[in-house]
Amino acid sequence: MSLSPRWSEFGRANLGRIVFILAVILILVIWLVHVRLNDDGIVTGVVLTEGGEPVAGATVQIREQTLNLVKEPRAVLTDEQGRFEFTDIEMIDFLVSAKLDGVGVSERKRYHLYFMHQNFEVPEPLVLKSES
Amino acid sequence: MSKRRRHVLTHILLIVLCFLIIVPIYWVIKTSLTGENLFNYPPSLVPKDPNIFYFVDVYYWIPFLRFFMNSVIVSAIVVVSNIVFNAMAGFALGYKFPGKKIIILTYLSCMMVPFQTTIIPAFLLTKYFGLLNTHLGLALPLVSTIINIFVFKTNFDAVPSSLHDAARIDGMADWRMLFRIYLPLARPAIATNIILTFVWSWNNFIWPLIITQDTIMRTLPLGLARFLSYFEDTSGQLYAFVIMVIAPIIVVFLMNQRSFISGMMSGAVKG
Amino acid sequence: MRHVIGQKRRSILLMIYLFLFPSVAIFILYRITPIIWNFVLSFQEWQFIGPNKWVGLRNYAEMIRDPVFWQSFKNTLIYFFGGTPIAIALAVLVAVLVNNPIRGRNAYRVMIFLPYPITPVAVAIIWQWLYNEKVGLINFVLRTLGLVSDPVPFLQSFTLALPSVIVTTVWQVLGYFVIIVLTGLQTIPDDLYESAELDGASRLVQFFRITLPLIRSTIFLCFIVGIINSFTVFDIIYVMTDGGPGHATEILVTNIYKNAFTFNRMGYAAAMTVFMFLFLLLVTWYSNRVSGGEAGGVNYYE
Repeated sequence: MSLSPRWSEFGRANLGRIVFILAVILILVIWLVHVRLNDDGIVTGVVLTEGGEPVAGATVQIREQTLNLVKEPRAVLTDEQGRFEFTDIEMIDFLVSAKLDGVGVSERKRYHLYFMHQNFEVPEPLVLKSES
Repeated sequence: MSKRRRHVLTHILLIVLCFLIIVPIYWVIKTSLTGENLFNYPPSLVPKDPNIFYFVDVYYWIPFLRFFMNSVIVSAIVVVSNIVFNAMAGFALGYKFPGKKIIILTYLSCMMVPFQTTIIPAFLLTKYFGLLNTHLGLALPLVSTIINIFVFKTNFDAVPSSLHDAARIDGMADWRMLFRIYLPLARPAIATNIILTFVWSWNNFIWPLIITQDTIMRTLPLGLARFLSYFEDTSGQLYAFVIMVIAPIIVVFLMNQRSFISGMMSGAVKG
Repeated sequence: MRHVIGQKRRSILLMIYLFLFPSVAIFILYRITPIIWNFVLSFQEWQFIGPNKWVGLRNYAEMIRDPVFWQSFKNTLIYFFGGTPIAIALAVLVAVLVNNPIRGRNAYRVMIFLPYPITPVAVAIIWQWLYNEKVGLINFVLRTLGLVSDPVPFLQSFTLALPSVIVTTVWQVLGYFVIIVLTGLQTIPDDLYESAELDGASRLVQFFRITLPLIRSTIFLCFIVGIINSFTVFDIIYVMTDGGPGHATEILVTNIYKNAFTFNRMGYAAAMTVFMFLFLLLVTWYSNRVSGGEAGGVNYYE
């Protein structure tokens, strides 16, 4: 009486499921590596005028929030190219807006991250519109 | 009615039924992707602006990974111990021995005792064992189930006794035979055991509700119910959480449909 | 049947008892002891902290006079008599449909069975959303079809709450009954139908004369499952309505849970548990006798 080689039988019968599980694990690993490489918590963006010119020295404010908590807003100034950068962003949900006295105020835009401390570039420029 | 017309009618009726059955699930998936709630009336049929941010919110807002691991650990304990203990018991039941009638009577009468009638004493027992709020305490009542014992028994009974006798002549000890001969031939019984016990332990709600005291020890269904009471309804995050809780079971089900269905059939009465 | 012979008898007997020990221990601990414990506890009054007091039959006297208890018992029975026959009738219909040799049978079977393994807590939340008064899908459909003019508060109404919960349970449990009935249907040999066809019997007559009588024991099994189910449903009710507006959806189990763990009246809850257990025992024993022991099918004695 002999027992057939169990493992090769098992493998052939369940090939589809094994491939599926391996694929899932692979995707998970790739995702985790991506997260690890991009989790410094830096949010960047650019402020422009309505005409499309970069605004230097504008005040950009960020307000982080979660489902029922709101953090104190922070502010930075833009550089000569109108770029701004926030570091150590903790929460995955936040609002940004920009203003410069005498030039205008931008809309408050809301963004949501995919994972905590995600390095994020605000996709659309904050456009300053005059207050009148 | 001709055969063809009958088949068309059957198809139509079945499609309508399946539609009615699937709609609630589809609706929740859609809500978890778009977060339409109180402020969105009338509701739209197809997801508008789908996004996965509700899932991200839930993942970070509650200790999701921890709840998930709790469910996994408890289910693992339950499934593995069920297979081991039930196979052992089913195997032993194949012999004739003094006291067999009493043992079988015990098993059968335990089938008459639904879990819900034992919650108070089980809680007190767990407390006296000091197992409140632990994975083991969560798993213990489910660690062996009568139905599955009989599933193994009927499976083992089908093994021809000539195999057993031959092994005995070869000098193999009886207990070894369970692991070397009977279990490898019992693949369907093992599958049934796994499926039934996994589903029962993953979906278990009332027992974790009674036993856990710290948030950190909750299992997924309990975490889901508590989330509901914090955030009421009508929020995309709640339904994202729902999807996150039912996705594993649905995936496991779809991957193993036939064994699942025939397995749950054997568990006609929740033991 | 394996017989134990010769010198190895002792060691094999040892193996047998050792093998039986874990499961028997668990059952004694978590099934048999609780019955006795419940019984003993029901004669005491215990606030969980502090000493027990023996009060004899006081808990039972209070139980008999308690309107909430009778309401929860009544609701449990409504749950059973309302839900199970409908579910079984639907299941028979669906099983007959699926039993036809049409393409995609398996796909239909899978889709119909799908709700069953889903976590009941999740099912409750899903259906709570559907029943929602302001934004629920069901209200939306009813309003669009013009069947009602004002939104219907399904889960908040004293009359509609229990039926709504029953519908949810039927949704989840239907697939399970369908599979049971399907298995029963497949034991009917085809030539019975063929000869009936030759004799000129219509499909309808075939259904009532051949199919139904032959799946009697299967339907019976469904009833047993149904009654045990209605006594032990906890998750869906607790999450959906927690007893409902007032006690409209309170069933025995939720009542027991609240008394034991919210009000900390362990003795009283134990008394109700004893009642529930005895009632269930009576029902299953009686139905087993009525069916001639057919339900379940397998003969475990050997």
